Amino acid sequence: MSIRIWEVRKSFGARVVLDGVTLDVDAGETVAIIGFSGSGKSVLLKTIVGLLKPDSGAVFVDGQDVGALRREELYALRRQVGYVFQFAALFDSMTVEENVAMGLRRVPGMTEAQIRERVEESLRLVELEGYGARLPGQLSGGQRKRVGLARAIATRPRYVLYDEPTTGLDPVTTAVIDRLILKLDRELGVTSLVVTHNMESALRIADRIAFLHDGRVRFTGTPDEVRSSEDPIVRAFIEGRPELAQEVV
Amino acid sequence: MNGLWSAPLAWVGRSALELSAGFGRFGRFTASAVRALSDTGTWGRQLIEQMARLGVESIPIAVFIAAFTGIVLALQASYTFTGAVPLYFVGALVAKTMILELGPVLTGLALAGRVGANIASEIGTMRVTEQIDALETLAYDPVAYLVVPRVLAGVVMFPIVVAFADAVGIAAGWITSINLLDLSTPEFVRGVRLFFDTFDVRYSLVKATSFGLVVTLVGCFSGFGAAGGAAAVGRATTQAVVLSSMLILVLDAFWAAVLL
Amino acid sequence: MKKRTDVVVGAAILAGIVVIVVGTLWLKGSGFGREEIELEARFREVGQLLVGNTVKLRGVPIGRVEEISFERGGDGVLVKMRIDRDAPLPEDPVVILSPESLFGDWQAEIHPRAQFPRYAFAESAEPGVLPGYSLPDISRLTAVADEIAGNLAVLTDRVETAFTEQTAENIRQAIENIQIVSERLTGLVATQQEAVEEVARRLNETTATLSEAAFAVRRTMEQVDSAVANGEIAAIVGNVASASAKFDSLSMELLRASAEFRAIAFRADSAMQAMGAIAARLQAGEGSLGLLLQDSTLYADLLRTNAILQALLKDIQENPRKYIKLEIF
Ligand SMILES: Nc1ncnc2c1ncn2[C@@H]1O[C@H](COP(=O)(O)OP(=O)(O)OP(=O)(O)O)[C@@H](O)[C@H]1O
Ligand SMILES: [Mg+2]
Repeated sequence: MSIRIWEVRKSFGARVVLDGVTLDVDAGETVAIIGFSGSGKSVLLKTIVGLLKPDSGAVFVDGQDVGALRREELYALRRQVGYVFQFAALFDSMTVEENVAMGLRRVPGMTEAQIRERVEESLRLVELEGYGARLPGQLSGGQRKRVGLARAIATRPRYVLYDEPTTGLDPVTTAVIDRLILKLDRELGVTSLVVTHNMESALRIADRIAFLHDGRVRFTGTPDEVRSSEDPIVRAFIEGRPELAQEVV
Repeated sequence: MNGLWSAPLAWVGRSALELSAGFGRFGRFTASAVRALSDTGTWGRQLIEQMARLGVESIPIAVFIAAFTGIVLALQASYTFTGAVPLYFVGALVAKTMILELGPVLTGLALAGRVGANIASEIGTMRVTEQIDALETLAYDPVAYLVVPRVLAGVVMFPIVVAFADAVGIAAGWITSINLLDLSTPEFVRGVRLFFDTFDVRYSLVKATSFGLVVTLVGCFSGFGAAGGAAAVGRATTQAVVLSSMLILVLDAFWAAVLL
Repeated sequence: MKKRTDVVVGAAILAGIVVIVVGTLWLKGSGFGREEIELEARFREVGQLLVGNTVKLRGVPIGRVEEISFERGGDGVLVKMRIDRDAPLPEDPVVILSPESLFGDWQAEIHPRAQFPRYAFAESAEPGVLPGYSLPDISRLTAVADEIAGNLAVLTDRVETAFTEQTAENIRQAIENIQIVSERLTGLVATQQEAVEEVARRLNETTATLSEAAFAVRRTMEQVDSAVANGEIAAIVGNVASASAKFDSLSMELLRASAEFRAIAFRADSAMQAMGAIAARLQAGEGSLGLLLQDSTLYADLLRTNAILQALLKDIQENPRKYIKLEIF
């Protein structure tokens, strides 16, 4: 019930994005990943569910080497993992309801009534009751993001990977989502990785925070350790002062 | 000497490599589609909808094209058959050309545009907006979910659409003949039946089936290969239409050589 | 909504299948529920006949050619046809293949045998297989027609420039010759003790035909005065003249080859019948070359008679032994 990322390297052409990332997420733990835009956070999340194959290194989820799984095993594993896409990635030909129900239809033995019930419940959790019949094109960016979140958690996965779940949301909704993440974590024992640019969120929800920089994990620590970090680049990031990072580079 | 020749040679080499890599990718893609056939639970639900979208909704355009083709065939045949050749040969020409060639090929080309572009742009958009990745994370095999139902729908529905096209083309030729050409219905029918062979219908349907396979498979392949943004979707769409149109003509020649 | 899609797709597929099946049946020309039977005929060759060609009875389409195949263990061709069960087939039916139009499409026509006594039908040993005969290809017919037209033109020229008392005398002579031939044949019969009855009967017929022919030609001759002006009589003159010359030598050959008498007599008999038919036609007010040109059966008859006579003479001269096996008709 844990995620182990071991020495993962990934490049696109000549551009090295991940250059030996090692990170462990223990069972039930919530780890926030922070880092500059373009530092490879989304790429890292995608390697965890096998959407991207690492050039070298390996990712173990539940003790299974994701890169070495056969197709059926990979799909079986993915049923345990919820993935919230940075840009929602909603199926734009389907209604909100159908989007959220997609994962549920893969669960064996679920009746149509149970699915409907679960969809409603998931939409309620992201505060989108009554939006079920809409198409994604009729939603705002933040609403879409929340539908993506509802879709990811509808199957009650044991792992949830959030790619910037609160970016672009107002402070109140951000707080609602943060609380939802915490609730899933506490009540259902979900193991989660949250990519975020929002330091406040990160400090609020994370058991640990990992700082991704230059293709590696430059720093990991509890929120308190992050607050008291002396690393100039970490400081530059959390204080939003580029000049601090400039000095080191 | 060396410098003069190395550039074009390098270009030839690179193009050949790219081409064979393309073939390899297409082959692997086709293989994955065949493998995904066993995943009935995933594509079964989609099949009917795709049959409706790719097949039933294509009937109007196919019928429209066939109707005008039939009219033109009848008029041009009567223009060509002056004096020596009896006018009832118009029926023979309309039916034979419609069933053997123009019914399947014109429909195929039209559907390469309509269906091929539809598939490539839809799947391409899903690719660049990460919807295909989303399918994967929801434990759907995107090939089984997106490709198989479209290809099956194409294979099943193209012959149906072409059957309508053939029938409407001949009917249009008939209506033209009796209204504009001083030909009676029995004469036209006599011409139609004169050279008819049941094999013609089978040939027409075999062609249509292969066109359905090619148009949908190439459309899906192009869409899956899209990487980037709107421009990439556009390129994928163009590629799908051009490639499947070309393949239709190649297949047309192939069937003519193999079956006739 | 989803349900409606199912219905629409199902309806489209069903409609498509109906279009395919009904369309194919309609194009094949076989309707539903029409009771059909299979019919087979044997031919020596089938010309341009194709599977799918029409089968007609008294000009009414009653079916289609189903299959064309070589006869197993024989030199014939078997043609299978599917026809209406209710079609009223004639007594002793035969099948004749002929061009349906000038454009390559052929047909199989069912006739009573009595209507075409002179065609050599390909009989089959197997019961139920109809005898068949394939008419000459249209291209051959047109070539022949062309040749005949050319010959007639030449003849007409000659008659116009050289129709003299002498020619009239020649014609008279020719008719006389024909009579001589028949007389000699009669004489021959008398000397042939075997098969006297049979042959005598045939020769009587022949003689009757010949004198009929002679009468006809004589009648025609009475109209020569008016006919000469536009050269209409030319063909008759030419044909009768050459025919008589050939009969003359034929009779000599017959005398010489009396061993093969029966066969030869039989063929001569047929030749006379043909001549008689021509004469009858000419007599029936069709004695103008213009009419002659329009009537292709007349050409065919003329041609056949000519060819028969020439081939007969040539062959008898060259190898009388083999002759008895050779079929001309
Ligand atoms: N499919 C791809 N092909 C080529 N390059 C890619 C691809 N995906 C990502 N990259 C590159 O990898 C780098 C990391 O991208 P990634 O999306 O992981 O950044 P990120 O950390 O998520 O940034 P952001 O916070 O802005 O979302 C970027 O420079 C991007 O250009
Ligand atoms: Mg990102």
